[in-house]
Amino acid sequence: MRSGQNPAKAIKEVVKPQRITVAVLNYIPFLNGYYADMLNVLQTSLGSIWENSDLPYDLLVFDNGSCTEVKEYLQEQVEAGRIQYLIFSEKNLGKGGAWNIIFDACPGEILAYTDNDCYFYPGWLSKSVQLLETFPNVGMVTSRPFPGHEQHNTATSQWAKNSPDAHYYSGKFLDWETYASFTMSLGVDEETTKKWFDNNEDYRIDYKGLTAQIGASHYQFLSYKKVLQTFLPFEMEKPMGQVRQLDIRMNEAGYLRLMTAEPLMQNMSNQVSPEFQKNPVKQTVKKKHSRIWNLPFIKKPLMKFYDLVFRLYYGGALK
Amino acid sequence: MRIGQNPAKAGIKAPRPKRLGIFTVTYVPNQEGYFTESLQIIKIVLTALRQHTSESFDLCVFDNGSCVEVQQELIRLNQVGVIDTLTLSHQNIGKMGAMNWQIAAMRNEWIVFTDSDFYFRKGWLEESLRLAESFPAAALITAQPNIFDQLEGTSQVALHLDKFGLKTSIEKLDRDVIEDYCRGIGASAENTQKFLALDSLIVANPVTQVKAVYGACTAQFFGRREHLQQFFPTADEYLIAREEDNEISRRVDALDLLQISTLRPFVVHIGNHLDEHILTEIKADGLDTPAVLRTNESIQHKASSAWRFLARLNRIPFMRKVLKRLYVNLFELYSIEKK
Repeated sequence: MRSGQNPAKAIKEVVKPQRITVAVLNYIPFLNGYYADMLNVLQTSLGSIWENSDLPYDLLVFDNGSCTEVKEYLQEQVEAGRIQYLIFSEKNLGKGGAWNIIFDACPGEILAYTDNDCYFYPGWLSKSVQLLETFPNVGMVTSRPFPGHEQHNTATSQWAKNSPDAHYYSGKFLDWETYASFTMSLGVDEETTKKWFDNNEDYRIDYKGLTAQIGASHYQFLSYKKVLQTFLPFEMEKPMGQVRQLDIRMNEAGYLRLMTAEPLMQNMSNQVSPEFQKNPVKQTVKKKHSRIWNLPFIKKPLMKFYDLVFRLYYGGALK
Repeated sequence: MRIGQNPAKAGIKAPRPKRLGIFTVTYVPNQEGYFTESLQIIKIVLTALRQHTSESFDLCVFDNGSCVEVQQELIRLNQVGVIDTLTLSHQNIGKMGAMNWQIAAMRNEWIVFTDSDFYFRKGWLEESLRLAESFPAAALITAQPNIFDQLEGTSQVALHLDKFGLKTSIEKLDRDVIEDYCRGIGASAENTQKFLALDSLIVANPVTQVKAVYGACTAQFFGRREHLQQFFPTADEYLIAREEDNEISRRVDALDLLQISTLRPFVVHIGNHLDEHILTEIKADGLDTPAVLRTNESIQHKASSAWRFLARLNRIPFMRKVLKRLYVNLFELYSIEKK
């Protein structure tokens, strides 16, 4: 039976979500083999989000059935207030299953989605949002330029060619370092990367004073929640490997797929490279326990007092 | 850079949402006062759901900013497979905020919501499905007779139930049904008498002969996802507010959909205290009975000088107000502001 009055009913307002939800999809089933360094990768990725996101946001992490060590780390971040929403799935629902939940549930108007192995550079969020909000009918914005599949970008190219306000042009705009750092991070050897680089051509659009490279990736992108919801649900039988559906459907629906002209994120894959190892942002934050009312000799008697007052007024059932 | 091939890409199949998805929202900001028994009650609710539901289902829990101890226990329940999907929110986004989130996120054909203090009895699902088949326009189906009218007599649908091909009658519910409800909500003897005197509007499908009580309760309901998505998301301004609960009922009514409940109680409200009745029922069902040793604790409290001092202060009207304010302020300090 109910005993007393729920004190939550006396609170007159709730916290409102930020306009942007940064969502990270994580899956680290164990810390061996392919995943041996993945907790380090995850910590570095989250650290770069905390350090280098320059607009207000809520952080949502979807954990697709990771091991205990990873879950414990993530729960600590919730407690410390660094992750606002954490979803634990007992089983790996696949990327499609996770997307179905994230895209529908995320509280923000704008979703900045990323896999768990992206490193973000300063300014990535504001510059990506700027493209999203300036270009018309944008479906996806990825926060770095890289060579993509032209067949997934036909709607964007067509719009750029036909729009009098847009300047569409092509050329070799990516330098070797920018090109190779991303391509080789995917496990491609240097020789193959060099061949691809020599044959690469970039396509860009200038629009209202901004430059975007054509293309986007399902692995890291910003989009409006209402746009993403039009593509739900994703039917993916396998946990991974069917994620290009989003790229294809966005293009078929006529949405623009854009990338920032400068590299504002980097793929780490399953190892943290020395460049990011030096970065201090993954260090554990100081928890809020230092507040005076959280000191044990203050908190304990106050909580005792709270309990006594409850019993004084509502203690009927506890007699 | 990437070393090797991600084994998750090897073609292992991902599980699909089950036909039935059940979710609850938990909020235990501390384990004192009102919330002393809350974690124990949540565990009983989840255990009963797992034991008394006749088909496999997805169980989702949205934790709305509980204290660390409670979140850790929920994580453990997630790891052992009791909870399929657990969402932890750093801050309390309100009961409706959490419900909006979960109903958007769940892809099951049938969705069940329950407050985290309802005990599910055997047969609840069969009876809910039986009503759903006989009343296809029912958007909310509660597995306990609706006694408290959340629409406060303003239902427009109730005025033209014949349009749905239903027969109606005014009947008294069985005495034991009303008493079961009153015990669950901790109703006073006076209110129990009032509820016993009430008549209920009964709807019947003339073809299947299945009967239901007109009206549902938003603290526990069963419905089709396609129906629920018509009236969710809804307003989410408060942590918890009856007005926001009632708004769900109003929306269902405005959409010309039915809200009904079972004739017998297949769920019962536990509240924040495990009383003798519910403990006896839990034991009879073969579930683990928690040891409740509150009596001794309470006696110890009342023997303390702090208690006697507080009781004296409480006799002064001004101090009574101050103490109540402090109670809420301390709750805010350690449950809301801590975040």
